[in-house]
Amino acid sequence: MQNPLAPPPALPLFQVLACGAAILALTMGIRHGFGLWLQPMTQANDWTRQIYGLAMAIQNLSWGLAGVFIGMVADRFGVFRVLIAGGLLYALGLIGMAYADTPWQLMLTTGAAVGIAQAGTTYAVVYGVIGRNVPAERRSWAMGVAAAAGSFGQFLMVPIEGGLIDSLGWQNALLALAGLALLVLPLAWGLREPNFAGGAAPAREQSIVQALLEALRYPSFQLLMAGYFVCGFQVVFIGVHMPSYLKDHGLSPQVASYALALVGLFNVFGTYISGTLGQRMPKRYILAFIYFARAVVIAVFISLPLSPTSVYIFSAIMGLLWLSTVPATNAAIAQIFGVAHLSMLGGFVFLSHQIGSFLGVWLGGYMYDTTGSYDLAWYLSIALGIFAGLVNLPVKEEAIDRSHALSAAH
Amino acid sequence: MDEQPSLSGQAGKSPFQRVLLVLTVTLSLGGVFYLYSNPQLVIMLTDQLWACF
Repeated sequence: MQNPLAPPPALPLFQVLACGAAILALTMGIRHGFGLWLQPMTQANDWTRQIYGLAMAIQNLSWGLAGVFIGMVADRFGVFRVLIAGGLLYALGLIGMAYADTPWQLMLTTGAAVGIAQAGTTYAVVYGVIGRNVPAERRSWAMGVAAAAGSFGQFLMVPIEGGLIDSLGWQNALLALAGLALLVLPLAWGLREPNFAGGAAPAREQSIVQALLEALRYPSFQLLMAGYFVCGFQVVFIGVHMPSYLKDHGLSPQVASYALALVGLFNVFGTYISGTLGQRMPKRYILAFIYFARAVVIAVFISLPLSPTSVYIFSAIMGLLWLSTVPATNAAIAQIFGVAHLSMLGGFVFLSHQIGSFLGVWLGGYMYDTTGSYDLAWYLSIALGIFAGLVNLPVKEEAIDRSHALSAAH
Repeated sequence: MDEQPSLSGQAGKSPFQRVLLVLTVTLSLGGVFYLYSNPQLVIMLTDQLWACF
């Protein structure tokens, strides 16, 4: 049932998709290659790797924590203003990173500033404007297109950033990236919603607090958050620890590099397919399939003898399952709760994803240090995959019934 | 005016537009994959990757 208070779609579909996809490709892509600066920055400043690693951890947690509050601001004052501020902060953070010469400056720029900027320029914010401006009949597909663009940006920017460091030096490469981040500003113009003109909030049936409490008390939202936590755990554990796992098993560095490329390539297809399928079948089945499939693929991968071929097949299949949870999870939230507070609710489930990511990196390293192998961490990933598959099955995707709350209020 | 509901972005496109879209996507993805297969870049990337761990 259409919500009578929901504003009609105001921006053309192509404009929303083109600008939203370009912003996600840029912002997700820039961030994806940050590992390439570890060696030159730590050598130039005589820092330990832990200092750089801590800055990246702060960035990921800032991204997750700030996402909730920035989502509230985006839902209240419009995505356009948030994107302008986020694009500027992203550029400033990168410039600050280029000139940081103390650990604290690195934490402040690469960690806090870039992390907050990411919260203001990535999925939760862009999905808010897509949710409000794309009809429900095409929303999941549109989210899949935007997620595929973000995945393509990650795939594209790693070799580009490597080339920039090679040709310009690490410091100038960061300044070049700051220039790229500023492209968010003109692109944000295409996502300027008339309903938010003059700083006025559109009419809504719920306040921010009411929407948040309703979601947090709703079992299906809790289940989606639990699933997204597992997504963060698995993706980041594999992304961070797989190269050293391959190295431990005597595979050449080229295998890890091609594995990275295959994950990136198939991730583009996976996110698009997931979004498109979300229009045709219940999203809980898509999510359950993704998590069960991850568990099976990991189990097969660690059971078979390791070879370049097995790594490439694993990387291609995991690539298909990589960020394919993003459009399905966000489209399910839009379907259940509506689009008025979508950025905030998207930010909330993403916080759960980031906590999972943090634990994936940390527990992976901790288990390796204490047991001398990644076996326990792989087993935990399999168990979590089965858990996430099971918890997504009972998710109720029907729009939440607020008629009781509305009649009580009158 | 409401848009026609359709299940994918392919709906409403002429065969020529579809072929053009598929070609553009294939060339873009293939071009980026080629960047990863450049031996110098692969060596540099993997050096940096290993340095992280």
